[in-house]
Amino acid sequence: MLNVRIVFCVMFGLAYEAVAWESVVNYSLQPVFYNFNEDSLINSVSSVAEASDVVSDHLLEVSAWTQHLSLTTTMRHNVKSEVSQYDFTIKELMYTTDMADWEVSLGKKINSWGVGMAYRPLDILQAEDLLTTDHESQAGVNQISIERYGDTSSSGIYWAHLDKPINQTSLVLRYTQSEEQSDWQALLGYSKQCALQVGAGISYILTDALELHASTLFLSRYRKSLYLPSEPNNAPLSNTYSWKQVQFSEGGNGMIGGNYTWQNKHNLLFEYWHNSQAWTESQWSNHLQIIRRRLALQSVSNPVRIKADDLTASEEWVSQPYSVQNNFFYAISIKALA
Amino acid sequence: MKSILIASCSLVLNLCSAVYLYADTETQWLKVADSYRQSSDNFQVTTRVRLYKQQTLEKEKFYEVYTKPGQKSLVLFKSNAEKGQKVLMIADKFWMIMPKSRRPIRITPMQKLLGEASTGDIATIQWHDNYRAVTEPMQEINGQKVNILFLTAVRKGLSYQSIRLFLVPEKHQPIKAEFYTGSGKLLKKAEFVIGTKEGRERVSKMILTDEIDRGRITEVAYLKTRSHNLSNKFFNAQFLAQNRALVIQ
Repeated sequence: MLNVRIVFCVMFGLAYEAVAWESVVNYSLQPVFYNFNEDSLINSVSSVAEASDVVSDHLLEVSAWTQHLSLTTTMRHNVKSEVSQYDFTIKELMYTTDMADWEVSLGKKINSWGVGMAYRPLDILQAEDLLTTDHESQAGVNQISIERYGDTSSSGIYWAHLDKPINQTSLVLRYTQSEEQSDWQALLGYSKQCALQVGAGISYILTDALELHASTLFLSRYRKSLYLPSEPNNAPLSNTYSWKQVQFSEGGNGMIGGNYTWQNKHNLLFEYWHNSQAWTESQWSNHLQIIRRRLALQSVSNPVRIKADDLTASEEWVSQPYSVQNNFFYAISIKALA
Repeated sequence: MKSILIASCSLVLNLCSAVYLYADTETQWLKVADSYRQSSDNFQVTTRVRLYKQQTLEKEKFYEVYTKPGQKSLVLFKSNAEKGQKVLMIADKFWMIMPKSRRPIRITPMQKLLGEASTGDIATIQWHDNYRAVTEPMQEINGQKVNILFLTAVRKGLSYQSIRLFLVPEKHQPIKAEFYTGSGKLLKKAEFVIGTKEGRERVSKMILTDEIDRGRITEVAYLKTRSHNLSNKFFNAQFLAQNRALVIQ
């Protein structure tokens, strides 16, 4: 039922440094093999959906920064079975200047705030895509920020315009503090669409080998995409776009995890999280029922007329930022982090 | 009776001052030994690390190390494959910053210790600030009598919980060292190579032999040492996670 996706990644870097600026160039080659079969294209019309077996991405990422400017760009060359295309993206372009004890930044900036490696509830301005295996930086968010750095603390005010997951403007206050055995942070966010967001996180060194981390976020309002066809479920023909943004009130996201390192350099990372913005079990079950009904109708209906809705039903769910509400993640490596 | 009391008090005071002077002597020896490894409180060292396995050179890496008073060290990874990585150490607190993540990762002492070249070794942590020393009987090494100090960490998060340090008498120049875990297990042995920099004798190279992974030798060479006045904010993990060029004043 699942696609088999094999990713080989070859990365190497070049670096050049001058007196007042630094830069990093990364090139990665990401060949991907998809083992498509009829079952994996849930309810899609196979003649419409592209089913390339081999996809190859060549990725060139250039980062350069000075005292005041920071730039990250990506050029991606995507080669599918028959198609080849180039994408050029500016991931970050930011100007920063000092005003008294404060740092003022203006432009497109990459923010990553939360603790942990997989899902980080406190990344409220831009969340990492958990589904991708790409080795490229996230795209930044347009913003004006004011930050102040002390010996062991930092505070910041961020006014940002977000495109994803919904178009909105957010104001966020954030404070971080480092203690002897822990780093903790707290943030407060507000936007018209999401109302209030309040969160806190901690990374705690429990022993020489064990680090624990946790974070939580309260959302007074949040949205998620649901498949809600306007026609009755047994209607054979549907040619409308049935994905809708549904608003919910009072949700909570939380994550707890840790990192243990053995003397033989083996490293275990484990994390468990709950995400109220992802589908519940009943929402998943409801969605699968709709797909099965439509799959049954497809055999008796004109596939051309139902294809638009079928495609949205079968393919949009995989592009959702969060898949399931409760997740457990672990990673074992044979190399210590540092 | 009165004279006996005075004599007793005098004896106790003399003993106390002798113990104090003795402890102070050991600290002085350590300070002098440290001065062979560092030039000032705010210093920058260009460091080359070569990793040998069975006498074959496996890897060569370069680091830029900035140190500030208050046990602050910043290690910038300069080799092409690691460019942009940073490790920040403030006393027992350690952070790793990867170039693409834009967030500092708090790491455990074990993770810091087990890196290919332990960042603690690269950062040249001051012995006199971080260890309590007691003298051990002198030994003869290559026909030369040497002083021995046994150092015990005063803090838990240090890479090595105890060190046996061999010093040239009078000069207090470090010759070699043995590094131990908290349980007393020998982790590494070090030999110090002395060269001349800025008109005085300094440690120019440290050769570390791994006692657990036999056949593995790490050569840490201090290529260039100079003073710096790097702003304090570069020793804040949150600031480091931003891509900013270091401005050396």
